[in-house]
Amino acid sequence: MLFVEFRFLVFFLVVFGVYWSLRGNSARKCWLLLCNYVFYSGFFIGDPEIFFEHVIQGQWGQLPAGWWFPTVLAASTCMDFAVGLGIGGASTDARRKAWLLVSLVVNVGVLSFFKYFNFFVSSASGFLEWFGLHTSLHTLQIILPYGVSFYTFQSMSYSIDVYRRRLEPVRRFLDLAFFISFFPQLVAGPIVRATIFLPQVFEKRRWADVDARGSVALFFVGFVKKACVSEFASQISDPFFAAPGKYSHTGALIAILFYSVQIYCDFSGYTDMAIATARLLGYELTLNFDFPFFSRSVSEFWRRWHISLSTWLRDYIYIPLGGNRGTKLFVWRNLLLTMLIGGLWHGAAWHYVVMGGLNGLALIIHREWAQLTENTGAIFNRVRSVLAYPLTCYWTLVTFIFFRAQAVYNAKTHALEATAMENACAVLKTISFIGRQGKLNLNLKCVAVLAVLAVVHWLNFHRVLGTQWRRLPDWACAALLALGSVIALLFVPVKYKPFVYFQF
Amino acid sequence: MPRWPFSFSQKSPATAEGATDSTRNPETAPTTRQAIRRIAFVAVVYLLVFVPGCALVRHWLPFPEVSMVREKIEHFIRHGDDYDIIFIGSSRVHSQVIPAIFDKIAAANGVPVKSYNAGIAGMVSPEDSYVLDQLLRVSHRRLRWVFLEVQRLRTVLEQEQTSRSAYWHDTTRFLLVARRLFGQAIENQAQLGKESTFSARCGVWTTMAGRLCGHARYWFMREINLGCGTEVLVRWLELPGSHEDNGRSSKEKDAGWSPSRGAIQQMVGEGRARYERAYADRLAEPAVKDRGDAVSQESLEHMLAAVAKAGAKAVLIIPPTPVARNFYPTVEREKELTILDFTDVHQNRELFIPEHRIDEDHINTTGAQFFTEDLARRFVELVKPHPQAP
Repeated sequence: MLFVEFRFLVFFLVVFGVYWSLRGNSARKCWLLLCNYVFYSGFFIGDPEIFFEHVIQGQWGQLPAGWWFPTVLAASTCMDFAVGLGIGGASTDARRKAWLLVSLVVNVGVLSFFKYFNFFVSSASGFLEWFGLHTSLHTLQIILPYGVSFYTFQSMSYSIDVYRRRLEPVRRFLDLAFFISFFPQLVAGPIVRATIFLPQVFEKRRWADVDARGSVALFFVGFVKKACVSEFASQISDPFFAAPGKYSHTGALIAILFYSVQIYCDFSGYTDMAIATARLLGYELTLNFDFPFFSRSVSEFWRRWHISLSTWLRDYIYIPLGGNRGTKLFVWRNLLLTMLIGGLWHGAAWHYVVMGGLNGLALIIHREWAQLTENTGAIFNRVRSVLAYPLTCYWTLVTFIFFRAQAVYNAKTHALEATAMENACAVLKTISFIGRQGKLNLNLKCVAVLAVLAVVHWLNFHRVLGTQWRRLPDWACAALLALGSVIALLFVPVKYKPFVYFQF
Repeated sequence: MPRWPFSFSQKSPATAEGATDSTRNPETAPTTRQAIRRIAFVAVVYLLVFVPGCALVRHWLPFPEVSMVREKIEHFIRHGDDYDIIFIGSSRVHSQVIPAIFDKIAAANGVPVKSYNAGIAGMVSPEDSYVLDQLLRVSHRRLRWVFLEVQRLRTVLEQEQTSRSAYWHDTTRFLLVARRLFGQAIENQAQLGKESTFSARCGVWTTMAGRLCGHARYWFMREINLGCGTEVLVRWLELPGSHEDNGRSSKEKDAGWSPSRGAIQQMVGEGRARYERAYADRLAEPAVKDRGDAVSQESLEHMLAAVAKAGAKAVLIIPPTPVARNFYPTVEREKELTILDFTDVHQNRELFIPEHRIDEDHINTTGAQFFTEDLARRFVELVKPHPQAP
């Protein structure tokens, strides 16, 4: 069930209506917990009618693969609840550490099994074969449960924060289960910290505190970003990544720009809708995007892009590794290692590792450059700040190529034509104006569309349109939203592509 | 740099500026009743603007037709005045009626006509009636005969949600499907009898509800003009490959006909054995004329009325398939209508021999030649005394 689907609207209206009509906080949480699991199960059980028919008849083999994944979520929650209580009740530091270790091993173990098992096995096999040692290692047919990377990180943050005494262990299972499975952020984030969310769980939410108008507006904007802009941009970028060699150099550059639009609108649109949905239920999630394309350095970009992940990596990996303290080489190692893990978090493939490595490298270079040019003159600073935007943007595009790269198969023979890495290199070559170019081109009209999108984004960044809409009467706001919906629906596809971050 | 609220950034409203509406101020916080009233009021205003807005847009921008349908309609827009005959139906018409052969045979027998195959692979009832309506809106000065494949109304949903499944779901067609679904549920309930289990009875209605929701979703998608703007934008941008979206277009031969996939393929193995069993059954016992349900009859009536209104005459085709029951118009209508029935395996041997078939439902290109020749001859017999009829 995607946020942009009509059935989500029906689901949410039921959730919303029942939730606010319940009086007690526990009753509300119980209701939402039930809804969370219904929402999550919806991704795995397929047609509910057929699913329950098989269950009633005991035909377990006929059930869709992965129907039991919600139990992984429940088991992970149970384990972290026990770990929290264990840490809270431990009398010595060694015992606290042992409990934490249990949490880390189990959470990382679950993540590794589902996400990285095949990657590690096939990589090890390839590595050994490189040395001439033939192996018979077998990969498994593993399906990745949606959102496993997100909820695993959330539950780990709970255990670590309890261990660090930043948080009291939760005494009621309901509270923790509700926090980990909260449906707006369950499958694609933002990765909400226990320290931010749990205090909200303990307090009863009041409708009077809900910014209903702002939340609906934010949801609508998220919907437009995903359903209209991202889906449209994918119509240009997808064919390009399937056959980069067929495109001219400029055509390739335009397609890559459309890809950056696609991924930004896809993910930030999703989080806009997640945040808005949570707000309508009275909960506040973490900020996840803050106009990343207006960053003047890679370092700033990562403070504005997928903020919940980058701060998680900072607080739970970079700082424990030593952070900025120590020798220059030590800091470089920390940066590189953190970004490599960040890259690997995105997916079990070498192109994600390369993406992480490139970002780590860029952070190191930026850090050294910033220190080197700290005391330069005003003119130099001016030139630097002007060049900073395009340079950051270009580097981001390069890393996005590795993010998006895909294995290419021949449509007729289904034979592998290019691995994801080869695909990335082919794209990189085309946009770097190297080698022969293909015949397919994207015309100036595409550039005009990009320009319109950029202007809208710029206006939004600079608050040019003001805040008058908040002062409008209800009826005018409703009418505006209705008109907006009529126009937006014109650009919504009949069939959606899944959210890019669902695969993580 | 807080950018909330108009920038719609994800920043918390706690840090928002300009958050002045009354819901944000606990002092003037509304009571539950006031809140519900306010939400209801907003919802009503929203619908009052949304519904006419969608209708207005639909007036200018029709729902995107699927490429193969659009092709047929665009062809008919350009050449609609050239044709005397059109054929409407599923792949059993699209790949089995060859206009060039039809025209040649008809001309050789003294009935010079020009025909166009407007059949579309996978087109079932009531999609056929929608396509017919669209075609008949186009200028068609010479049109005299419309050949319609007789089909039962289909309520089963395709697994995948596509434009193809949605485009024909206008209110007329949706209501037909909805009525048929209710009818099917009542029939199935009656078949189960009083001794059936509660879950079996529930199953009948949940299946009906599931399908109804699916069709309602398509109807809704059509009503809200889903994707119309993107279609216009993509055409304007002239994206590479966007005009090649219909792989069949380049394969289309003359006047709308194209051979089916695997046109020269013959049945083998289990498929052939199954067909031969069905064929043997029909040799032993002819297919039963099934009057079907009232809604399927109504859908057929709708098509007949549209043809009559367009000043043409309808000819119903029942293609050669070895099924046990064939859908027929009601007895009263049967007498008034022209029905070309090809289901008699004794009369139409060439169309049923396994070497001329792809599967139980379809004949291959060789079979299609025989079928078209036979169709043309029967047509000539029908109109020869009055070639300019009606």
